[in-house]
Amino acid sequence: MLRFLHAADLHLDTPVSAVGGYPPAVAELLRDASLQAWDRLVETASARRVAFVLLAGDVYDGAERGLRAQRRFLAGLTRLSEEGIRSFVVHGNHDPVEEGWSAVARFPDLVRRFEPHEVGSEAFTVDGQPVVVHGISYAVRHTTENLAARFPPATDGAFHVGLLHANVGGPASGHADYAPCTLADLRRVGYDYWALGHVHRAQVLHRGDPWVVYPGNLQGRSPKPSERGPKGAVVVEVDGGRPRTPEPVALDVVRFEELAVSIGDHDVLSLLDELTTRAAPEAHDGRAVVVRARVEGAGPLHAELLSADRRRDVLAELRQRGAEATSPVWWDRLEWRTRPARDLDDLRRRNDFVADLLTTTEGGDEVWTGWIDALPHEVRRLLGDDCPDPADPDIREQAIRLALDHVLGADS
Amino acid sequence: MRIDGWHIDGYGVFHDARVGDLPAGLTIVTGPNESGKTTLVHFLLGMLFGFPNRGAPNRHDPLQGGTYGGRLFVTDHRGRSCTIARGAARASLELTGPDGPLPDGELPVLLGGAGEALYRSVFAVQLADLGTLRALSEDEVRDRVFSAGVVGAGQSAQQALRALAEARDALYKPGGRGTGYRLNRLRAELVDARVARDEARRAARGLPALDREVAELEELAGDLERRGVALRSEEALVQAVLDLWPTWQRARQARVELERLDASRVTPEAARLVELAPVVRALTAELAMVRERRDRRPALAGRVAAHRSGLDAALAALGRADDDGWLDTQPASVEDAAALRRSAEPVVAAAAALEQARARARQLDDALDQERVELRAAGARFASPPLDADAAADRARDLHALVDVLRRREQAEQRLVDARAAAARAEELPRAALDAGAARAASPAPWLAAIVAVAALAALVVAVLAAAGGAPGAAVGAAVLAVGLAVVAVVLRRATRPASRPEVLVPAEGVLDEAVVAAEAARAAVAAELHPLLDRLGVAEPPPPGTVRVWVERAEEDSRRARQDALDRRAHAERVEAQHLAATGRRSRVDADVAAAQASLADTRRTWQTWLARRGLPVGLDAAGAAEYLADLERARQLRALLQEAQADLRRDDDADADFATRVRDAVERLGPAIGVSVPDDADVTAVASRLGDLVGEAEAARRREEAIRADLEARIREAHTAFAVAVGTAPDAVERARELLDEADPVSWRARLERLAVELAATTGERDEALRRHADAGRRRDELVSSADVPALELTVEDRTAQLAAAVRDWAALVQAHTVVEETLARYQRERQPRVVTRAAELFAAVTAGRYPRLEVRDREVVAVDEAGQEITAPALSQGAVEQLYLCMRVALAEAFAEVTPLPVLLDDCVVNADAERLPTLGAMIAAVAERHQVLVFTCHGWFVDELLAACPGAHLLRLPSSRRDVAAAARGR
Repeated sequence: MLRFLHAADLHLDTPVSAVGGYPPAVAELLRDASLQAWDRLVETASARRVAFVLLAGDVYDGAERGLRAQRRFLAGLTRLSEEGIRSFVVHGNHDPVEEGWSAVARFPDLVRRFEPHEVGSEAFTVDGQPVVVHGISYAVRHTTENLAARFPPATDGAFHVGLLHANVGGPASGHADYAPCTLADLRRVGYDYWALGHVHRAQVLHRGDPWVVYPGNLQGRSPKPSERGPKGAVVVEVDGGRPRTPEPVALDVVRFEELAVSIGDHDVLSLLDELTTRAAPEAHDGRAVVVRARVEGAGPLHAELLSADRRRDVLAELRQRGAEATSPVWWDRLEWRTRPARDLDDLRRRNDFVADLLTTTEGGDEVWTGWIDALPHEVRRLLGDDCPDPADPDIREQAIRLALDHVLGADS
Repeated sequence: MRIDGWHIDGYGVFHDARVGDLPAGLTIVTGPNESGKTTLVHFLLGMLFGFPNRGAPNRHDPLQGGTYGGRLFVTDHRGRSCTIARGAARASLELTGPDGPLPDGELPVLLGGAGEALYRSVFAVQLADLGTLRALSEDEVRDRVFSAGVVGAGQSAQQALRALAEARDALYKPGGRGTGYRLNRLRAELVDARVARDEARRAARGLPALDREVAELEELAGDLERRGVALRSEEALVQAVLDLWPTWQRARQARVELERLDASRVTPEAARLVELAPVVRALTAELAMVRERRDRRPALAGRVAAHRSGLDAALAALGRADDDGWLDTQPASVEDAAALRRSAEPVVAAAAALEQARARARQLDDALDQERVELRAAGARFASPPLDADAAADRARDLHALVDVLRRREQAEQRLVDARAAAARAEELPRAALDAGAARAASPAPWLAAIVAVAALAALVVAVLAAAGGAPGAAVGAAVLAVGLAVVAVVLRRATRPASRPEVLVPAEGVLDEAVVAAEAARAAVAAELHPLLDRLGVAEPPPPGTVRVWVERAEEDSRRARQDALDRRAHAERVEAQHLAATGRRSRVDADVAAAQASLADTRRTWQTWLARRGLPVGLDAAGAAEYLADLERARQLRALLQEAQADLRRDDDADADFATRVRDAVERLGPAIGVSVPDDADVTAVASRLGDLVGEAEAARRREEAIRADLEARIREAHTAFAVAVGTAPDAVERARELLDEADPVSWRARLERLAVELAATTGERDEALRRHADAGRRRDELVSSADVPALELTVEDRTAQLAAAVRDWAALVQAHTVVEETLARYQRERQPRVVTRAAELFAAVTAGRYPRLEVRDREVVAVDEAGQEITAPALSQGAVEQLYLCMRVALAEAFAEVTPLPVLLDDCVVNADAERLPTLGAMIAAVAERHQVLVFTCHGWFVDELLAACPGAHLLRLPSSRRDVAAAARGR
């Protein structure tokens, strides 16, 4: 039976973003995570005895791809080739062929890297099953052309695979609109399987005839929602020339998770225990975990943990526990969204300063967005996309909590 | 909400204290110090907002008993009567409305959303609030007075603003420079990280070229190293060959000598001698034994002859002279001798038993003979009774005898008849029948016995007929009767046997014939007796019976006497006869014993003879003879064994000698005539063997000498090869090359080559070292580049700092926003609420100060009093009493403002303690005015102030607390 592995968005040597303050051990883990995930991919391809591996772009994280990443990538391809496993590679917006540099002069024999500008095709046979893989790489990062339109139609009875880094669905999809195309573009050529890359959250856009699959990225890169949870590749078995449902295979080394815990009737220790349990590697396939938690709800613990020092103590304790876990658990952040047992409506009924304060928070944007002007321009420039949105509701909520906590704290 | 009353179950000094019907206006609670006014204030606050935990200040556990807490009766803003019940536990709150229990959530509604802090800040003015005013700095006094009118927006808002600003500025202060601010520090670190990363990226681009340079230099250095290694190998090889040459030369010479040695090998005879050396050494080793055999041969022959002679004698004693083989046919052995004794024992015992039985028979024969003598004597006495010598007695005896003879003649006649009849039946009837017949014949009244016997016979016939007729009972009865009658007949027969009838001895054999003879003899004897007797009686013929009867009657007396005498003699004869019969029985039993002993002896003798025959022993032997026979046989066997042993020894020696001679001859033949030794006869064998040993020794010595020479030569060759292996190694190329050089045998050219190689090696080594230096340099530069171009690590650092900076910005933004919200709320509060409060406070303060300070103004978060002259006087500049009154006015004004939305009772606890006497009326009037619109509870210990209040508000409710603690509860209960 024909079996192949489809992965995308390896982002080898990609730095983990939006996480900071970790100790050296965690830093090393995060730095090597993408490379180790790649090693796992190679190991899995070997163990599952796949006929070929499809890598749908963004092998590297940037044009300034690291030497270490290139060497590791080459080593993995070499091993696959030595084991008779073919590899097909296209490059995407993060690693366009004509930008950046390459430390690899020549790929192993069974590796086919598709060039930009023109769709390449390679036909071969696996256990008597004719297979044709078509693919095209990005020449430059900003590739806005519909590359899917270039793919030739399937004219024979072979099993046809399209390998492409693209945004299906256009800007409305919520992803950077590189090589935009539509499902209709992909269905037009009559392929059996479209191995796509670009979207980091795994999803199947079309189930059968053809299968259109984003496997997601190989290793989560940040605490963003699309980067959370299991990451890896899909293994596809082809039975009678028709792919079966792709099987997701988690290959990540570090897993990003976000938790929400209500203080409810917790005391401090039981709260710590629940957080620890839910973030434990055992609850996440044994992976190392980078976790953010939101502590919310109303309860007696709110007042007890109102002090910044105590909150720091809680975080420090969690990090200590995380360092002692079976695999490292890095508590990136605890967001405190607890509130006193008293309801906000009660506070509004007071007809006092607190009630006025709550009225003020319902005011216009000028209350909330003024800070951005006070922020040094250089900081804004340095942060770029990472700079918080002035109207970020989370910041607003945090500000209201801060104001209430401080006023009510002073009251009491 | 207003308070209608309360019931204190247990709280401080109060126990079961109930108060009710409080007015909506003013209530005055008065009492001396420590009468419980403040305790009551705390009770009311606790009932509204909850009591402190155990151990906390102002807990007021019951001192007079009762359960902690109580009930508070209130009326809500809609006029509903409600009850708040509380105990020590927070969960004990019970809220009851007119229609029953209310949820706990109704309490905040009842309180208008006010918490305890707000209530304390707005509605409860305590002595402590005023008291602290005296200890405050001017700024604090300003702040306190200002805050008194802007609760929540005063002190608390300022504290919140300060805390938020502090936290915000710790992150970043606009315009602030330096890395003391976290944002700046992170920004600087991020910039540095980016610079480092970018530099690393740029450096990384140079890595491929540097990689190539390192690889080329590595290859060059490798080539040169390999070249140097080759040169050094060649140099080492040539040097090794040179060093090896003397040894190698000696080895070559050794080979020549070896070849020479091979050409002059030893003669075939010597080789054969060496080859047969083991055989010859074995022969010479046996020489001593051969000689020893020869020495002992005569003694061995003597042993054979002696044993032969002994054996012959032993066989002769057994009757089998010169027949050694016969011994093998005799299975008997020493073990058979023991069996012999066991088998012969029964024979001996049987013979002894026989002899014993015979002796006993002889003894009994003697006794029987004695008995017979006595019997015969008794018989004689019985047959010939003695006669009385007296004539009368003779006559009487003769008459009696005549009667007796006549009777005996008749009896003898009858006895003869009976004897003859018995003799006729003797062959068929037992002796008892014979006796019975004789008895019947002699019976004087046989008819009675005969009748009984006939009756018995008839009964028997009847029994037979009854049995035949099918009547077994009658048959049995008749049979029994027949037997009984028969017994009676026998008894009668015996009883009727005449006592005078002489008993006849019945011999065991031929008795009946003898009886007939005896009867005839008796009859003859009687006849013989009759005539003499008649003669003596003087009658020729027997007298007639009458006479005889007379004579008989006469003679009967004589006869009775004679019969008595006969009876006595018969008794004696019967005893003798009984003794004789017993002796005869014992004799018969002894004969049986003798016969049994004879039979047993015969059996044991047959068994013994069978046992002997089965072992091939002469049958005629008795036990002793057989034992002796076996001893002789054993002795013969031992002698034969000794003879055979001696003969075997002799044969072994002969065989060994023959074998030795054969092997000596064989060795001589195999060595051939060239050795100068001829095949020996038996006599010369030992000498020849000795000679062969000498020859072999000489040959082996020659061989050892040759082998020593050969070993030395081969050792020289091996030494050369070992030296070659050590010097050259085992690499095929080196070995081949070295051999080539050695084959050249040209040390001079080798030395010249060594010099050339040294020059070439020095040049190559220099080039290699230079390449290695350059390679190390390039490698170092590459390593430096790689380490400095660790892009992933630097990328991670950049991301780390970016994340931290972004988080800090978020925190900072939230703090800025929070600060802004508080600040704007405060501004709005001051803008919208504070003016009304300040205006009302100014009215109150003007009234209290009797118009001295008609106005109050707010100047930059400070309340200033404006006097009549328009002069502004700050709070700290006012007198202590004026400040307290200003504070009180601000609080009251604030409470009124709040009460517009949240009407709650105002609690004033000793708040006029520092008021001037002239202002007391105005203060009272102010409170009374407030009480017109709101419920006011005044707690004071000053009677004059009570009077002022009552004067200002005549309808006020007065609640007096007892002066002593002991009376408090009772008083409270009384009320």
